[in-house]
Amino acid sequence: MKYKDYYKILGVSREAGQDEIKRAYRKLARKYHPDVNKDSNAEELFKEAGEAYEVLKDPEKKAAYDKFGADWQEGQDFQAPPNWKQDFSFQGGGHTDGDFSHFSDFFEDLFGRGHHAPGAGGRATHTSFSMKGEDLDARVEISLEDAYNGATVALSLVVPALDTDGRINQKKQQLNVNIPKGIIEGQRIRLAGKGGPGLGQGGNGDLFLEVVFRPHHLFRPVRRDIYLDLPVAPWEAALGKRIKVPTLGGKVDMKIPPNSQAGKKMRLKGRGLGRKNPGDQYVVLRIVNPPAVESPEAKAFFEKMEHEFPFNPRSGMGV
Amino acid sequence: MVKDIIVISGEVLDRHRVYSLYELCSLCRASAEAICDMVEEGIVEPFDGREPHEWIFIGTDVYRIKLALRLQKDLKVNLPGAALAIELIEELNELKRRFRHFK
Repeated sequence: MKYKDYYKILGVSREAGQDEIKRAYRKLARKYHPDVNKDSNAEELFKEAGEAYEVLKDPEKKAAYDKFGADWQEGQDFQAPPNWKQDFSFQGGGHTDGDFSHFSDFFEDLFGRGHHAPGAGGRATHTSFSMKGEDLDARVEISLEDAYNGATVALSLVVPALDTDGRINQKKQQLNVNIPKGIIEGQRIRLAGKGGPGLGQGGNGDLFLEVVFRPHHLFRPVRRDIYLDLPVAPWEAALGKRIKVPTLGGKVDMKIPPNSQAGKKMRLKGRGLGRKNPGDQYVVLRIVNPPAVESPEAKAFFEKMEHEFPFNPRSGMGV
Repeated sequence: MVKDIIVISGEVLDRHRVYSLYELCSLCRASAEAICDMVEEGIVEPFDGREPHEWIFIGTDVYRIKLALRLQKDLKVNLPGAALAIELIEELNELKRRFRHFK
């Protein structure tokens, strides 16, 4: 078992008073709350701060914890001395808030498992107590093509599960999940009963999957719409042309009108995402010149244009 | 022997999936009073129905309610604070998404 330095986790000194401990905890909670902070380690840090606060805000737990002294280092191998608990009365419950299923082994060994799962040390083997399992949140990253066409994705999740002793442990779970056609980024899919295990007669919790798109080399999703920067030759933009444009559903024809400028936005209706009434694809023109330095023919053409065709693209800027 | 692959389908929490107040309470583990307070605060808005027992909500309201409950529990914000935080979080998430696909 690894020692946890609760003072270090909250960033306070061992002499810190209750006000300072509370302030430090609240600040970390806001910073690392998984709904606010999407960094992959944010949830871990949020839970760690919650565990540290659970101990340090409670005078009795704090006193017990402080008895180990200040010489222990975070992560050091640790064994609680025998009978150290006898002076304290918190075993098997009495915790205030926080989510105890996520507390560390270190916390559990010292203070028990809280009042969520009654019984000695919180093991829920023989009890008439019922509670619905916890809801879980996870993210699933898919390609834009999978969102457009629908797909089945294999997910590997670490979820709480009841072991044979009726104890909740973390377990790896493989799920094949159907991603419906037309889903858009940020939407959630609810998988009923795929969350944490229920206790007694309580059913399992649900799993809420947030859909995230992998960045695409061509397309940019904005809610239900898809944006595409489309390279065109200067003469295609100037003279107009019917060209092929890639979309998530395959190539389509699009007519570029004469006198089109770079940045011109054109709409392909209904070529975006969405389960019903799909969004649109917007094509933004980007004028691309043929390389002039490497090609004497191109260079000669550009020079001819420069000499024979008076044009100041910056006339509107007064320069 | 071919091993069957079990594919599970969920429900997409979007505007095409609607819920009654009763269903929302069970899904979000919230009391009807708590959800009525959120309606009053503008965190969620019934898509249809005049009286609470007729109210119809859309799928996105499920995670707005769950988010409001988490913010209240974890960060001790009050309901107006949760309402503000939710709007800011949603706006921030949308901007982050756009930025991510622009890079």
